[in-house]
Amino acid sequence: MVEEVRKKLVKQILKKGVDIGNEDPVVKQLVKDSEGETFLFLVDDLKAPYGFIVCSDKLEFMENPDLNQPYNLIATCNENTFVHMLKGEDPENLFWMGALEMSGHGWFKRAMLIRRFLKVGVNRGLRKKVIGL
Amino acid sequence: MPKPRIIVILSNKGGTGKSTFSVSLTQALKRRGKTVALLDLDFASPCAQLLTQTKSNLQVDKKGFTPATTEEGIELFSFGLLLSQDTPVMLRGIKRAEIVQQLAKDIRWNKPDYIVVDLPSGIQEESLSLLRNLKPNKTVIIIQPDKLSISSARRIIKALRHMKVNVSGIVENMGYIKCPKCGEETKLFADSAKQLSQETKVAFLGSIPFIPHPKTLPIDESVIRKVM
Repeated sequence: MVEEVRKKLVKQILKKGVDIGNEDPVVKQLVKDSEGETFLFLVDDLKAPYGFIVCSDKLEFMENPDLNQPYNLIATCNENTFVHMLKGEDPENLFWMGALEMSGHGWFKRAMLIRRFLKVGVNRGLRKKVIGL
Repeated sequence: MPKPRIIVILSNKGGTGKSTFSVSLTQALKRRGKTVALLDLDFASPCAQLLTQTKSNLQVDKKGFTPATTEEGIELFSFGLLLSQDTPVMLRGIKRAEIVQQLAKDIRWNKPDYIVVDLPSGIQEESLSLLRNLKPNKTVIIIQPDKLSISSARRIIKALRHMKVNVSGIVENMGYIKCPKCGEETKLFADSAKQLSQETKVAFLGSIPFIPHPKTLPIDESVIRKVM
């Protein structure tokens, strides 16, 4: 039951983040620059199959992403790391410190690209807008 | 278009002056009219960006990385241009090796004559990955002529030979100090890189004096000719 609530919460936060990101001019520009790329972000250890991808010209929330699809980049973190990000920890630091796992063909350059998405989230106060803190 | 010549600089021990030597070598090659790139692959303590005082004009897009350019016009890729100053790199060896493999394809160098590669100290996963995949034209070991450094150098020479990597030579750094008034040279350590050279049959390329607060090292023309 507790896990169900946590899953629901993660889903709400990710979904709201995607909605707000699509309204944000900086995120929109980043998405435009990354046209055709498919980035998938997953919170892994809750077994919560939610994520978001850059899908041609916008961010798209995914409830049950097909993990067998050939995404350009899959960024995975556990719930603890997700909470750290929500508290304002720089996602780029989390990557270098091994808490954000990246995979996919040529993942490093894409990891350096997606850090800009995540950093914009922190810098532009999307966290505050998402969780109201 | 000929392929760039790849010169790898390494040592088994930290603090021998690999990075300062690497930067100095790129500058010396540039002064000879060559187009040069510097690839600093030290994850833990990247410092090429500090030694060259290069700001982060490294670009990344979905096609890859466009290296930064130093004031002298040397292309530069260093993790120091991607990391903030206090961020520790805690990626596991296998991940670091994957990154190095990908960088070989994803850095868009502007057709340099030479790429000087500054490897981290020791035999790390990323160094193994690079040496296996890149096939360097020259491999230069930097040592201090003290017991610990020489002992470490023996190990890395053996490791390189085991990997069938040709060891081009040894450069002795901080071997002596030169009196600024009379020019007299005083040895700082009892041991000598020349002895190591004779013992291991790896060429002795030259010796560089101890320089307080070095920004660049005075590398002899003869050493530069040998590593070109």
